[in-house]
Amino acid sequence: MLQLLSLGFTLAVLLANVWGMTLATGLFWPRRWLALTAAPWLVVTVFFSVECHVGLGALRGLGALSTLLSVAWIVLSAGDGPPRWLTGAWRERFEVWRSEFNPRRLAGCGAVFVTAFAWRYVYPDLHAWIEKIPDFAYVAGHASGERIPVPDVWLAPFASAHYYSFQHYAAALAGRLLGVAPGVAYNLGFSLLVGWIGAGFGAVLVQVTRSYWIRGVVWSALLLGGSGVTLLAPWVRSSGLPWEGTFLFGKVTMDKEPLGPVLEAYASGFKRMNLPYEPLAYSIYLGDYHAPMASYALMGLAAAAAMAWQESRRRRDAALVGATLTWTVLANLWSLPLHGMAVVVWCLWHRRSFRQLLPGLIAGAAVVWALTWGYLSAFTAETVRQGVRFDWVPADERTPPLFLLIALGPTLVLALAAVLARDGLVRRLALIVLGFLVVSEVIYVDDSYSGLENRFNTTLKWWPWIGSASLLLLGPLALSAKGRAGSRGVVWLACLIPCTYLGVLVENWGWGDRQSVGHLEGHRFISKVPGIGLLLARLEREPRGVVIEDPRDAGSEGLASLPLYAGHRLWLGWDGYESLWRGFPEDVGTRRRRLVAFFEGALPEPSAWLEAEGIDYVLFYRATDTPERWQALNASIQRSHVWCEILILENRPVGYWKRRPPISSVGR
Amino acid sequence: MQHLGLLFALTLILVNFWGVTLVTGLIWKNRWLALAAGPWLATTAFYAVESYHGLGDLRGIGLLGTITSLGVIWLSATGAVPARLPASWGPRLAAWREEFSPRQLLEPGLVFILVSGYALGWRFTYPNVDGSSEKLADFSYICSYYAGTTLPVMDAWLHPYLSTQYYSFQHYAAALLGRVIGLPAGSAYNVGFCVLIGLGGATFAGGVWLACSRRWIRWAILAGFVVGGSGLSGLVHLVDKGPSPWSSMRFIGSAPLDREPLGPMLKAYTEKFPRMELPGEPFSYSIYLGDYHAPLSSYLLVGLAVISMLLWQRDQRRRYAALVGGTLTWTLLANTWSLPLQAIGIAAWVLKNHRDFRALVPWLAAGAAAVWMASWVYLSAFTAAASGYGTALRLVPWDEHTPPLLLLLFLLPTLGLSVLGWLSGNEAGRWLGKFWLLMVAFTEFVYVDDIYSGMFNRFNTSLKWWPLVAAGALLTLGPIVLERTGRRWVRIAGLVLCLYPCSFVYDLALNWRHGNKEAVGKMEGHHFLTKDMFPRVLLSRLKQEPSGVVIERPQKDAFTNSACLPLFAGHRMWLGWLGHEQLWRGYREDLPQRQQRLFEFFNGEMPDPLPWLQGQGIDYVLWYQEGDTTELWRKLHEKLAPGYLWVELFTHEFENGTKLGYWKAPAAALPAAAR
Repeated sequence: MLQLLSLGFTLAVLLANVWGMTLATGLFWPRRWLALTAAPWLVVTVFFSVECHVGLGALRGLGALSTLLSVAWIVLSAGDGPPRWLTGAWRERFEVWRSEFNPRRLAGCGAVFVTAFAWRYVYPDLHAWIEKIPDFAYVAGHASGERIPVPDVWLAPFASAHYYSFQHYAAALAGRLLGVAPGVAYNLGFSLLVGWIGAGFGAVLVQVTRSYWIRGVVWSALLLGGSGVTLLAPWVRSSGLPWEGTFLFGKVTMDKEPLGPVLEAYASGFKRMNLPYEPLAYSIYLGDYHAPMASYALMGLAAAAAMAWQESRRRRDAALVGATLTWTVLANLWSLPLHGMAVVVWCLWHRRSFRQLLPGLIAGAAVVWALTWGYLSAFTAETVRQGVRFDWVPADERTPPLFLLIALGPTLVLALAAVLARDGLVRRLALIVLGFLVVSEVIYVDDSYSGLENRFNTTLKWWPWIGSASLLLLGPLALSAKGRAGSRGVVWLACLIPCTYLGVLVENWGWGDRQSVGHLEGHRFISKVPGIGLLLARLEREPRGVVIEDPRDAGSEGLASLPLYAGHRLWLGWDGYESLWRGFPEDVGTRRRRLVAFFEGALPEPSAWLEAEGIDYVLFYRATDTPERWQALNASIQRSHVWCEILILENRPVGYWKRRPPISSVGR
Repeated sequence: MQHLGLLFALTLILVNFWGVTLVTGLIWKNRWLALAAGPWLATTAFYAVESYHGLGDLRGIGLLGTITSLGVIWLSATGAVPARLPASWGPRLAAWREEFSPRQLLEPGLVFILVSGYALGWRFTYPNVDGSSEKLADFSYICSYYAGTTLPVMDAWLHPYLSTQYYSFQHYAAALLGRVIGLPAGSAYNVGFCVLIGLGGATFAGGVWLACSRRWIRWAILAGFVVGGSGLSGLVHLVDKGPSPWSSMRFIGSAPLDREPLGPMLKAYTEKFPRMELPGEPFSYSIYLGDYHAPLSSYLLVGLAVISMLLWQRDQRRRYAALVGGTLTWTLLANTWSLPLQAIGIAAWVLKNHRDFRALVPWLAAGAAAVWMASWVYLSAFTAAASGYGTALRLVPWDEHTPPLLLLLFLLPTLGLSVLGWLSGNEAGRWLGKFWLLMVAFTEFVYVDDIYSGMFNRFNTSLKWWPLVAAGALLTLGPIVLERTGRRWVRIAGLVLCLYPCSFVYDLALNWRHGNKEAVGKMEGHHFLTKDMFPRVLLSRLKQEPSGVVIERPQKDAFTNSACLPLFAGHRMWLGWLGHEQLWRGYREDLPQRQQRLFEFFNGEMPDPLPWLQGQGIDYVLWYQEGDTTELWRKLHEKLAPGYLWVELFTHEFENGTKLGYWKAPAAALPAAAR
């Protein structure tokens, strides 16, 4: 009950700050939807820019101050008239601003935030499935408030400049301003991002169509819709897992009569490729705070800003479009080709006004680049070093046509129906969508994956982007275009059929394992185990340092995450991921072998090794940590490290060794 | 001389409180409300700042506060108008002076001084902060806050964890008072207690004085609050042999009922019901007991809410509604146990004023939110810690209800006042009578399900809820039943119900007279320790050491005169009272193991004690207790000498050369400033 009260207050503070940011942004971009969508990007960029030069550390005081300022803004926007001290032109400007940003006119992204939060509140654990822990590692890395690039919390003492982690920085920033633990920042940050994605889509839809029906249906299809496979899935597979309801082929077994075996027979004629399609609704269900999420928000923002420019021809609107390019580099480089192509096409469309358009556009991109230069210079150097490049899709790795048709069915149907429309704009847009689909089928990003997974990352990230972008822009236009009722009907179906995915989602939400409801800190699945929760509580009280733990999973959950919750860094996190992110450097594998040897007692002179690597804490709590091993380790490292016991659990010590000399608590 | 020092400290406190009242009065323009709300607002302001940055020693601020207070007092007492004051402020200043002149403040000030003086009578005579009840546990909180570090502070009883597991706002306030005035922690406990009681009396009086005009009735109701016991006060002498002040409070489930003829009759009646311990400790009993325990705050907050409501009813100013809302969050901070009652009371008031819903609720919420915002840092940690306890409101099982006759006897004044209010013919009286009867029913049918069970299942709930309901009923119904009703019989019956619990004075007076007065005037509260030579010498030396983490030979669990000497010396302990830390921290598995480790250490059974001390970050190991023998000392010293220094304070020439002293971490481990 008390925790709910506290959560309610935190959410109220969050809402006040989002609202305040929107109102402040509204002074420069005086459209409420656009201001709402652009505000977080602008504010985060300002902080990012400062922290590229000096880390600001804890920001709770600033959070309290910004809350008070936001409340003042809100009261000002809700008041009856301009304040007395405002005079002249400012008074008129204020009136315009207030009429646009009156509280009654600002009820937008709340619903989407609530949808995402409903998932994270009920299933808040940041467990080892999929990408949650790596994403959490980035949030935890930025939670310390050090100078950017911050130290990599999974590979001390290296810096974290090898990944597009702008959205993770944003979540950590929100957490620092609210003074919450990094796990809470992850869960709140995820819900906020989804809220802003919804707001971005809303910002576009309110400009494209006046029909509430069309807005509602397209918006729902964008946020809740599956893929073309969704309707077919129950007749193809016996398993009803949400991730299997969005794509076919590859690792998915099509085993259900009657359609499954037929499709398997068809698939046998092609080289087996894992070509996933993860729509936004699936990502919301999954809860991974993964970089592609930011691309949806940038898609909405870019489109809304572009439309605002078409109407106003103001440089600042074009600048926002340009800024989304750099933000894409910062937040999810994978979608830069698509986002860049879309912006180029838009510029070509307005080629006659390029003098009005280009300066603002370039300035926007350049300003964001300049502000984030401290990070981008390190990041781009790292990217170049890894040598990722575009390549043509080999002929035998193309998607089997039938599967392409099924998975991307709604997008293809939408585009084909739009091609038949009488409206020239709709027709041209449809052709562009088809062009994007062709690109995604003939070009791919050649990364370190190969074989079955050669195109894995590309389709995973490109197809949902194309699907969402075409539905967002073409959907409402095709639905409201004059012309054949039949083709409009087809478009309605293309929007509505994927929404059946809602059934799968509701079922999964309703019947999941709810052991951690409300524990937004995200570690309940490990801290509920006796001893581990106490270890975490004690580690939180130790000065930030470098930690090691046994890197073998051996049935324990939450590998390489416990120290992160306590604000420490690991000498080695998930070695597979660190290898992947850093272009498979040889030393990462060596680190893992060293760690295993250390915990097995096979490392010569372990104390000297610990001291040389600057390791402050050696944790002892994993399933592989036995009393015998404790004896051996304690004997071998007590010269350099002293044992701090937390608990004896069934004759098994739980605790950690910390570097000598222990820091006295006197005077602290 | 010592008493002169105390007098001076009390004068400083009085001046500062006067100043805070006057400044608060600039916004909340009623003297009673300003006196009641000022300390809450001032403490909250410090709390808000210290949530971000601990202010450490505050004597400078105290001096500044005193000078400022004297200036404001002078302003309130003269007719001078500052030359730079804008013209529009002139009438405001005049109105403020009219309400807050020394003459007008005389009555509130007198109530505050008298009630806190009464409490001082107890604390001055029996100032020991010992292990007999909750005193040391409360003292540990005050000590935690004494460091003046950023909130949440470190738990003085459980290094290195933070103190986030308890509603300790009033303890913070006592520590703040001690830091501002520059008192030792023990004196801050005793003086803080008297100030809290004084404020409780003044706040209660504020409600009574606003609602009632006859002087003797005001004082009668105030007496019912300050010295009035339960419904069984007086009656207990008819059923128990040799009752103590404790007897009429812990009556249901504990009374021996051994005095003929009524005692056995009542016993026969109670034996028909399952035995349940259902105590209630009213304000008067708490003053006698001297525990600086969280429920005391609730009396203040009920009073503050009632004054604010009365004033809001007069002119519907938003700031009064905001203060009512503020009491909700303060209740959460100071005594979460009474939050359900406070919330129900406020909700009922809002419902009664539902036509002004739009004017009332937003400001009520704003007040609650503002206090939450100010204490946000602590509340986030506190609510997260509270989620681990699993306490919940539940319906009382059918076999755990209070035997009806005992309920009637125990809450007779409350039930009687409620019925009289209902029958008073006064509209407010009717409403309040029904409301308090419903509140009594609520306490009888709902309880907070905590860690206690069996016959103690409702122990904590009745202990904390019944006295609060009784005080609330007396405060709100007293003026109506004793003065505002037109029915004479109601007035007379009300007077009887208000005054007969004051027979508790007899029990109190006996106890005050016959108690052990060996510690009279030793306000630091450690005479029970320092009357013996070893603790005295050790304490005086430990005070000279930089603040650090201490261990000493433990005594079992809780309610012992242990785990306190280091606190009096300004240090923290690796483990205080095990029982309390367990209760506060949801029976964590590591705590009993901590106590076990301490026993092993002090009994010389730990194979390798030096790395253990270093690993746990322990700075001082005390050696002064009965079990600390010379043989054990030799055994330990042999193992500790390579890493810790022995400081010898005394060696007994007899008794086998028993040693007094402590080991301390080497100087290299101490920060340069501390060396």
